[in-house]
Amino acid sequence: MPKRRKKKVEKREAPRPNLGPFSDMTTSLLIMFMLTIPFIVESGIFISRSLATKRRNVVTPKKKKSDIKVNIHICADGTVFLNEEPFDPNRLPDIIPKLLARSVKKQALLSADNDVIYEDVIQMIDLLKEKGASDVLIMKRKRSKCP
Amino acid sequence: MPREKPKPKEPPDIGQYLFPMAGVMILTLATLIMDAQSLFTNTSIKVDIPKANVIEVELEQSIPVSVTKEGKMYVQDYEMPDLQSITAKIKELQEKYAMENNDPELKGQQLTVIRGDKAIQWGKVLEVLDAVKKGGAKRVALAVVKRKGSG
Repeated sequence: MPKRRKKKVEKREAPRPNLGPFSDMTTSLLIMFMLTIPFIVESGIFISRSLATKRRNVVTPKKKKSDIKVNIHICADGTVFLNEEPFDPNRLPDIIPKLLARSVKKQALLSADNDVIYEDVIQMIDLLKEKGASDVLIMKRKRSKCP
Repeated sequence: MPREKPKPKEPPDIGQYLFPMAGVMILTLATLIMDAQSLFTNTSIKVDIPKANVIEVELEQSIPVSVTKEGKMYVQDYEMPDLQSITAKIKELQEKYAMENNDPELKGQQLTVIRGDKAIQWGKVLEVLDAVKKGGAKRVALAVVKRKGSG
């Protein structure tokens, strides 16, 4: 009787996944996420600080003259009033630092018509803060000077 | 009888352990990216926030008050039918904050952030601000997103 040859059963190795590109992609995603997080996450602009901070600011020597040198009003039609006078909005970035330099507390007063777009008001607050205003006081006017 | 040479040990296949780990990692990352907004703002209400260069408020536990483009108002994720409800809710949350910290002086000191859509009218924001102030909030901020390219 002829000997039966035993068939060698080859063990097939399980395919190994190539994890190189996978980890590269994950790392890239992670880095991208970390870099973009400041632009995704919301922050804020203070319009009312804590009472303690406010009190510190309020303590002032008795002065008859107001320290506020920047008083801006935005009209619904886009007209901007600076210290009760119509003013070219494009010239505001130049004039605001000069006016704030004359103020001790560097506070600015801002008001706007009810119909003004919220983004325009935020842009004005942003401009004031960028040009050195320590506080932007928001005021509600009963009567508007706008045409 | 000649002794058989011991077979060299095969290195352990770490791929089989790494693969699920990498999968979990990428899933976690994707979830984090998608939920980043609600994770940091304490609300899932989506609002188109205006952009600004100057950022003053750092990330902290705050009470989000959202106003959508359609004029709907929310405190956290709860829709508010009117301004009186906002005042009542803010009052409740500020009291809760003071009680949780066992300090009655902290009442009103939790930051309230008004998240207004950039297309709404300023008058609406003023109304909400008024309601928030009536609720006893002493620290109020307007939500902005940092403009790209600014410091």
